[in-house]
Amino acid sequence: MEGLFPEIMIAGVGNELFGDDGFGPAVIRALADYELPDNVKAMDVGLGGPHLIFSMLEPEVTKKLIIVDCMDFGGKPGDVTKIPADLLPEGRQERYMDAHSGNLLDPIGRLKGKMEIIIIGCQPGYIPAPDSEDFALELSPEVQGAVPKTVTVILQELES
Amino acid sequence: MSKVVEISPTTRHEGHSKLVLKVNDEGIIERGDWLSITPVRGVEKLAIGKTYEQVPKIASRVCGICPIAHTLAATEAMEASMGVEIPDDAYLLRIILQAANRLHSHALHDILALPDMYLPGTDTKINPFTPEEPVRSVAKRIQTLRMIGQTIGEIVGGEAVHPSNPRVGGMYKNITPRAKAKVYDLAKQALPLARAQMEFMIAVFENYGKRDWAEMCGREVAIPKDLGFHQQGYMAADPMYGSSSLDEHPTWDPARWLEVRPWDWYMGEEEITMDDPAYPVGGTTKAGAKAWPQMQACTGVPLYDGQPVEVGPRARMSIFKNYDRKGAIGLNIAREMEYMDSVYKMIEAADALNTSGSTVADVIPQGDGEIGWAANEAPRGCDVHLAKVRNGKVEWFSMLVPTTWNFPTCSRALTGAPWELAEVIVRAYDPCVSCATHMIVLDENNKLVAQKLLE
Repeated sequence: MEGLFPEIMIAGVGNELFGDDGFGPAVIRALADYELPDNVKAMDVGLGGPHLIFSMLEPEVTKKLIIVDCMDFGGKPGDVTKIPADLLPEGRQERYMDAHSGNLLDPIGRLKGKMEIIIIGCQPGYIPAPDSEDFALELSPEVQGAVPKTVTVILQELES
Repeated sequence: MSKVVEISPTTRHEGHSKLVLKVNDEGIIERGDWLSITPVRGVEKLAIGKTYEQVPKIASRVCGICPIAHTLAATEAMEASMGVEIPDDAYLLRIILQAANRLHSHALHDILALPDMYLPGTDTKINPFTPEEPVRSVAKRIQTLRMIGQTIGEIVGGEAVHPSNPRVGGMYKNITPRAKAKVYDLAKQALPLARAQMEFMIAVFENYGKRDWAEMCGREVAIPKDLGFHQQGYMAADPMYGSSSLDEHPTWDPARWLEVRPWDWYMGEEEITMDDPAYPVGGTTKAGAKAWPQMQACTGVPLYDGQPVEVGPRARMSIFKNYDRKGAIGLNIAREMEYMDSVYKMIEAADALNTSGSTVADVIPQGDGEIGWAANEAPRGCDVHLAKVRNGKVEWFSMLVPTTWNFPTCSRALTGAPWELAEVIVRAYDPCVSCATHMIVLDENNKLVAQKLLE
C-alpha cells in the first residue's frame, strides 16, 4: 500500500500540557509556514510517537528520521543540540516495557542502522513534574526562542 | 496464611500500573488489587475557564495512545452541554475516524498480547518480532492493518496522531471525492487482512484456553479454565460509536454513576512476603518492601449501579450482540471479533458520505452551564467525558476513561488465578494508563550523551 510515511520524516515529540515538553509540537507548527519538498512530512506525534509512528516506519521507504524533542543534556534553557542516534545508549528491547518506561530508546534502537536518525534536542527551562498538579501551556521564553533556530537547522538538514 | 506478592510495574501495556496480590500456599490469588501508579492527570482542573475549543485539544494530550477517542469524547461533551447538533456528514466522518482508530488499536494490542500465547500445536511462545514463519507474516499483516487505520485517520482526522479536523459543531472540513475513494480503497484492502488476523488470533487464544499450563518463571503454571472470570456487570453505550445527552434515548446514565475514593476500595498497607526473581522483566518486588494500594492508587473508583463494571470489546459485544464468553480469553476473542465491524463501518460510512455536504453546524450556541456528556466507545472501552459550558467557557469538565472503569473490575477477575498469570488477565483488558513523557538522554554511567550545541 501507499505508505503513511515518506522518504524523510520529521517527528515532533512532546506534550503541550507540560511547558517546554511541547517544544517538538511547536517546531512542527512553525514548519507549517514552509513549503516542504514532496518527499518530506512533518508530523506532531505528541506522546504517541514511539508506538504510533516509530514502530511503523518502513526502512525501504523512509530513509531519514528527524526527531525533535526537548532533551536534558545539561545545557542552558533554549540551547539546541543535534545528535545522531548512534550516540544514544542501547534501548531495553529484551525487557519489552511500555511506551512510558521504555522512552524513545527501544523504537530508535530497532531502527538504528536501517535509516539515518537525527535527534534535535532543546534544553528545557521548565517542565512541571508529572506528579504535580501544575500545568504550563506555554513554552518558556528561552525555549520559544529556540524554535526558529531549530527550524533553520531542520531546513539545512533537508538540503544536506 | 496468605502471602503477598507485588508485580511493579506491569508491562506490555500503556502507562504505569502495578499488581498487589494476596495468594494462598498454592500461589492462587485470594485477593488482587490492580492499580494505576501513573500520577493524577489533573486535566479536569486545567480545563476550567478554557474555551470549548481549547478543552478537546487539551484532552487529546492526556494520553499518547488514545488521542482520537479523547478528542471525540471531549468535543461531543462540549456539544452536549451547548446543545449543538452536528450535520450528518460530519457524523459520518467521525464514524470513519472512530472505526479507523479501533482498527489500528486492536492491531497494536495483538502485538502486546501475542508474547503470552503459544503457537497452536506447540509449546513455543510467540515472539512477534521473529523472522520465522508463520509469525513473520502475521507481524507484517498487523503492521499493514495499523498503517491502514492510521492513514485513514490522517485523511479524515487531519493528523494521524492528534486529529485536528474534529471541532465543536462538526468537522472543520469535509474530505474530497478523491480522499473518499482512497478511504474506501484502503478499507477494502483491510477486509481480507482483518479477517485473516481475526481468525489467526482467535485460534491462538482458543489454543491458550485449552492448554493445561503456561511456562512462567522457569516452571509450568497450571492455567485454570476460569482464568479471569468475574461476576461484575458490563457497561457500553454503543457497538461502534457512542451516545450523548443530546440523544433522544441516551444509552449512558450519569445518575447511575458514582465515583468513590481508592481509600475505600483497595487494600491497606501490606508487607511483601514473597518474591520471585525469575519473573519476567527483572523479577517481582523483593520481600520486605511495603505496598499500600489505597494510598498509592492514582485514580478514583467509578461505579455504575453501585458496582464496578467492565468496559471494552466484550462489554459492547455482550450488551449489543449477546456475546457470552467470559474470562481473559473471552475478552481477547471479543476484541478480535470487532475487527470486521470496524472495517465494514468505514466502508458503510464512506459510502453514505456526501463530500459536498456541510460539516459544520449553522448555529453554535455558547452554552448556559447545563451539564452535557458524551460516552465514546474508544477501542479500550467507554470513554465518558462530562462538561458544563457557559458563554463559551468551560465551567466544569470530567473524564472517566476506559481503564479507570476496568481497574476495580479486573481486580475482581484476578481471584482464583495463579499469581504468575495475573498479567495475562490484566493485558486482556488492553489497559491504557496515561501520563506525560519526555526524553532525557544519559548513558549507562549517567553521563549526558548530547555532544554539540548549535549556535
